[in-house]
Amino acid sequence: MNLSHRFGKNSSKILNIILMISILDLIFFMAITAGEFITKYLTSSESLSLIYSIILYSLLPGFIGILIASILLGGKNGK
Amino acid sequence: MENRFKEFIPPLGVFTVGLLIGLFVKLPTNYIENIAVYWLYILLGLIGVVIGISAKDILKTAIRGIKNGVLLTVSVFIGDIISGLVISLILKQSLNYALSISIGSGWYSLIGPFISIYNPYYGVIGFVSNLLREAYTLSLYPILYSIFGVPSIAMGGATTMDTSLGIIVKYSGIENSSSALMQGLIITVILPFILPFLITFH
Repeated sequence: MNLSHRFGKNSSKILNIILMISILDLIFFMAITAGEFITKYLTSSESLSLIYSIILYSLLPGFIGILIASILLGGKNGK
Repeated sequence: MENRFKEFIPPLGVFTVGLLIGLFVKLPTNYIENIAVYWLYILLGLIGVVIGISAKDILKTAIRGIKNGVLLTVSVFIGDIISGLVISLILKQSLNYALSISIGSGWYSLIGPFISIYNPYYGVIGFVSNLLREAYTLSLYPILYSIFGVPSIAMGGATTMDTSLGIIVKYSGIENSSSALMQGLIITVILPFILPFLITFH
């Protein structure tokens, strides 16, 4: 992000660093929450089919969405 | 390429460490969720500052952004429906539950409780898989953007107007914020109306 022309070089650098720290913290706590929920429900007798389902439902919709968006937007930069 | 690779390491590394801690260390779930919510508020505040500073630049690209946002939303819904159909066939699950889970687009706080009313087993799948979709978007976005460009915003689904907006703005630039906001907003408005029809679909 180039914000230096509006915000001053040092201030924009600090803003970028704080932004990055917040993003990483959010990823960290979201991942812990996901891990805890996975362990909570993996103790059931249907855990194997639960794992397959979770993997497929969490990955497939997003990736197919990206592929269709690549076709509709006609490339990397969009319309 | 080496510099770009360096950019991918922090989100992926933090995601892996967080997931391992969540899997193997017993922590108070409610407390951790609250911390995540507070970080989200801080991040949204910072994004507000960035958008405020770059308002003129955003307005210049607003029409293009809205157009891309609408196309991205259509892609997300088509992708979700195709995935629901495919997963229903592979795992031999009911089509109504498969479609309801896949169309969740990362909105786990809606999908989990909503599907649990009809079937607790699918409610759990809906909750965890949509939570993971959000976590994947946060951690994989830098790599996806370097490969696919703007279409990679579709991965975020409904989360692109709040949780994943920060990482989208950080890696793909402020000019794509309007596309991300538009996509998240349309999905968030439409989804509560579609879900009741999908869950009763046979």
